[in-house]
Amino acid sequence: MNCGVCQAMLPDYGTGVLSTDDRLEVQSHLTGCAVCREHLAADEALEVVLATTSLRQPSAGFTAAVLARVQPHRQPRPAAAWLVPAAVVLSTLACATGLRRLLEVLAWDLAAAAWLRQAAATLAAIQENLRAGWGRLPAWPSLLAGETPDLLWLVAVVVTVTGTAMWSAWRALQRA
Amino acid sequence: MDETRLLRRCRQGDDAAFAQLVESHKLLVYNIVDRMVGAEAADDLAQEVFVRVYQGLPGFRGEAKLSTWIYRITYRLCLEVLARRPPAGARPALSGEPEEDHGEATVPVTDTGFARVEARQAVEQGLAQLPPHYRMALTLFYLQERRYDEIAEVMEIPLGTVKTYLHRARALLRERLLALDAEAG
Repeated sequence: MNCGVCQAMLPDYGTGVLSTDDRLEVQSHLTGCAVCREHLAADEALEVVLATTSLRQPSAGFTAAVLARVQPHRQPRPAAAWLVPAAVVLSTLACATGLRRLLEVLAWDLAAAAWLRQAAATLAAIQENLRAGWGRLPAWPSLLAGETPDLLWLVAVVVTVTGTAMWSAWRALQRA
Repeated sequence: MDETRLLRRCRQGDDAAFAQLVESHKLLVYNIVDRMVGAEAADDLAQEVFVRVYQGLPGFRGEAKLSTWIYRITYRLCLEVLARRPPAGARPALSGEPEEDHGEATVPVTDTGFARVEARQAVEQGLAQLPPHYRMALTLFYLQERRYDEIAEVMEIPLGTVKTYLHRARALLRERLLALDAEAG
């Protein structure tokens, strides 16, 4: 083994990652070579300095200073963020309305059980209360009053259920 | 709080969550900047790193670990700063010895023969003269608990290049120590 090869292996020799044979070769060379022993001493001193260098601490108010610096970069909460809760509320209303119409159809056309007719009446009462609250919007009460074709309400139910299922699956995939 | 929830809350503008992110990473970011560009500007630049992290949060998709991404921002900012400086460049000061000890009687390291204080000074000066990418690789190696793959990811270089940088950096610093020893001897 010549000095060039030995010196190239010294860093790994110092950290103990050399194979047994390589380590023995290096040791054998070091025994007879003062220059390489000097290199090994320098490597070891270097390792001591670099490995024992302690970490410095940032200033005491570092985090507060960072928070102050990012304030001008804060983005206003986008309007789109409010669309999700609004969509959930509207979807729920559409779903409830669609269910009510469905229950009415089942109760009247199929002469179904009294509990179905009661459920339909209950939902109708809820809808009346909502319409009273939304009296400023004349288009909304007419929708609730059943002037819209039944099919549209059924579509609303299907869309709401499907949309909710897809959104839930998407969120589950995100978490995964 | 796990990293995913922390990031989500940071993106929602939660100051407490972002403060937690800063607290978790400020020590290493500060020390990387300190060793790369020097102690004088370290605090200011380290703060700038987190401003860039804040600005980059909406676009961070989690392809890398959060710490890797933050250190990568740190590295790029350090390179920008060093590129703007004249060639004399940074003189990072290694901690480990009190400033007032410099120049006083040395304390020999018994098993290596190199005086500790002088060795530290020589390494410090040598680090300041290393090319930035050698310096960064060496800094990350000793701060990242010797993970070559993380260094490669931060610096966006192959694993083999990391080892080459470390090998050459040590060789240059070793030459400096040997020169010091030759002068003393």
